[in-house]
Amino acid sequence: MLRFRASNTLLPCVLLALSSAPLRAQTMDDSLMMPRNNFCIGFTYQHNAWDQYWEGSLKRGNENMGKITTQNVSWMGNYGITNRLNVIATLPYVWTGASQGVLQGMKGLQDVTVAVKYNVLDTGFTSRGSLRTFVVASAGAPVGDYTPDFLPLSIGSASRSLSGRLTLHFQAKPGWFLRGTGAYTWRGNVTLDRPAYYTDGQLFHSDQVAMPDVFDYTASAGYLDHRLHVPVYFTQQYTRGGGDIRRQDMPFVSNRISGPSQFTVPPPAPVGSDAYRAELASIKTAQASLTDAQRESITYWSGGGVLRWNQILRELVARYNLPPAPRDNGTYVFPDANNPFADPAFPFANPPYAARAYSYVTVAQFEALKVAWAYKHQYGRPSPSRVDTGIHALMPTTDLPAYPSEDAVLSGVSTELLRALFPAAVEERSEGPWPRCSSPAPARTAWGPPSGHPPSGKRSRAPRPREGRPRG
Amino acid sequence: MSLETPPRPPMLPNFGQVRAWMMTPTDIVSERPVPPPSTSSAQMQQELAEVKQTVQSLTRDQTAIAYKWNDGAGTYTPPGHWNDIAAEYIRDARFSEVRAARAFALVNMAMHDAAVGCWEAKYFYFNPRPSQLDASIKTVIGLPNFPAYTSGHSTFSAAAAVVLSYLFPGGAADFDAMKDEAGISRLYGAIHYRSDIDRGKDHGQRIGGYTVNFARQDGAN
Repeated sequence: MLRFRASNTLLPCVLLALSSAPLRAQTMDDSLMMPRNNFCIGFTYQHNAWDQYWEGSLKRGNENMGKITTQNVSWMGNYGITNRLNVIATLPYVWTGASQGVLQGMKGLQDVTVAVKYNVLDTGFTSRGSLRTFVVASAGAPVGDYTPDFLPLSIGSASRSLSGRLTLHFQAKPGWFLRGTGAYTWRGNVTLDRPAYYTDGQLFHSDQVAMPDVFDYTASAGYLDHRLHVPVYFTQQYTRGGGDIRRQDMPFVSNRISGPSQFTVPPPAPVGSDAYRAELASIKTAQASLTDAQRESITYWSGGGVLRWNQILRELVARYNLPPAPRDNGTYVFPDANNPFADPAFPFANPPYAARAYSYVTVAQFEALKVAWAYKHQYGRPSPSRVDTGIHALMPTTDLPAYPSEDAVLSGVSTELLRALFPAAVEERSEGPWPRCSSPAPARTAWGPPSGHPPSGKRSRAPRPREGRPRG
Repeated sequence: MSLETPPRPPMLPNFGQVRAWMMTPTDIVSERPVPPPSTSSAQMQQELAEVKQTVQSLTRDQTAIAYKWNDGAGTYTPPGHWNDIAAEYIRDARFSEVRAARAFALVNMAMHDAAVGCWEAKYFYFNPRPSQLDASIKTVIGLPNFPAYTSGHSTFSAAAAVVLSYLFPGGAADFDAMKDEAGISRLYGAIHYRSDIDRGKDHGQRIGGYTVNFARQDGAN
C-alpha cells in the first residue's frame, strides 16, 4: 500500500489503497496520526470474493450462487484536532454479486463510522526503537436504507455499533515495525422487513434481531517510513453468541369425528367424595411449594393452549423447512418418514407440507376440544377454585366445567399429531410435555398471548384493529 | 427442468392428488385456473417486460414487501404467516379455546385445499419462471424449484383472507390488503408474472369459499 502525504495545513491529500484487509486497517487501527489542523480525505477500494462457506461445521460450495464478490469504494476523512487526537470518518459504497444462479446483487451506501483516536503513549525513539499506544472509540450507523435480509448479497448488517479499540505499535528505527490491535464491538438490534424469523433453534415473533457482540484483533508486521507502508496482516474475529447457519438454510387426521361417543371420558370423582377431597388437597400442597420452573410453565400456558400450540407448530415448520442438500455426486435423496433421523431429516416442511400439517393439527385440536366440551357439560364439575376458597386460580378462569381439562386434551392430541408429522423432533422433548418451557420468553419473544405481539415492521404493515369481532 | 444446480427434481409434483378437506378431486379439476398466456404471446412478452422493469427499478418499500412475504426456506412458510396473522385476531377477540380452535381449523383447511389446487395447476401447466424466459432477469428472493403458474403465495393468501374475513368481518379490508401485498411481493421478487398472481388470487378465493360454505353450516354460530 502506498501513501502520499501532504505536509501543508488543510491541503487535501490523496490516499489510494488497494486491499482485501478490513477497511479500518488503513485508518482506525493503524498507528498513524494526522498532525494538528491537517485534514486528509481519500478513497479506498476493496475487493473480496469467496465461493465456499460454513454451515455449522460443514464447509461447502453452492452452485446456485457460485462465487460471491463484494466490492466497495469508501470515502475517508481524517482531521488532526491535535497531534495526538484525530477524528476519522468513513462511508463506504458497497456492491455485491453472485457468479451463478439467478440471485440479484445489491448495491448502495452502507454505514457511516465516526471515530476518535487518541495517542495515549509515545516513548519517542530510544536505542531500541519507539513504542506507541492508541485508543480509539468509534460509532457506526447505517446510512443507506438497505435490507440486511438477503445475505450473502446484502451490503451490510444494517446495525448501529459502538466499538472500543486498543493499538500497540513498536517501531524499530525507520523501517521495520510490529503492531497489535484489538477491538470490542457492541451492536444494536437489526430490524427485518418481516414479522418473524427462525434462528438458533427458536422461532422469534418479532422483526427485531439481537446482534451478538464481536471481538476482533489484528497482528501485523512490516515496513513503514515516510513514503512507504507495507504491512502483512493476520486478522481474527470472534462473534460472541448467535446461531450457526443451518444445513441448507440461507445465511440468515383426516377422519371427521361423528360425535363424542366415539371417544369416551369416564366420569370424575363426585364433588364431596373422599377421592375428590384428596384431589383438592393435592392442589393445595402443590401450590404451597411451586418451583420457579412450575411458575414459568403456568405463565407459558396461561394465554391459552390453542394459541400456544399454534406457535409451537409454526416453530417446528420453520425448523424443518429446509430442502435436502445435494450429495457429492450431484443427486438428491428424498426425506423418508420411516427413517426420520437420516440425512436428509424428515420432513422437508415446504409450503404444501406445512399447509397440510397446519390443517391436520388444527382440525384435530378442534375435534378434540368439541369432545372435551361435550364431556365438560355432561359432567359439570366446577373448577377447584370455585369449590374451595383456599385454592387460588393462577391462570385466567371461566365458568366452564373443569372436567376434563381442555389443555390436557389439547396437549394429548397435539403431541400425537406432531409425533407423526415431525417425528425427528420427538426425542429432545421426551422429558415432559412436548414444548420445553426453557425459553421463558425474553421481551422479544413474548408473543405470549396476554402481553401481545411485539409491534412489527413499520413499513407497509396493514393496520390491525385492536379488537376483533367475536362471532357468538 | 430444474431451477437449481445440481439439478433437483421439482418439488411435490403429485401434491395435486393429495386429498383436500372441502373439495373432491372433481372439484379440484373444475376449479383449475384457465391456461396461462402462451410463452410466445404478446401478453407474456409484456408481462415478462414488467417483471424485468420492476425488479430493475425496485424501490426500498417494494424490497421490504418482497422480504416481508418471502417466507422461503427456513421460515414458517406462507401458511405459517397467515396462522401468525390469524393468531393476533383470535387473541384480540378473546375467543374461547374451542372457538379459537375452530378458527384455526377453518383457515388451515382452506389453505391445505389451496395447496392441493395450486400444486395441481402448477404441474398441469408447468409454466416457466421469468428468469427461465429471460436470463437477464435476476431475482431478489430465492427462486422456488417448481413451476410458476399460479402463484402459491397468492392462492394461500386469498384462501386464508376469505376465511378470516368471514370470521372477522371488521378485518376484511386489512386481510384483503395483506393478500394483495403477499401476491405482488412475488412480482417484486422477480419470480412471478402478474397473471400468476391474479389468477392465483381468484383461485384461492374460490377455494376459500368452499370452507366458508362449510363454516356457515357447521352449527357454531
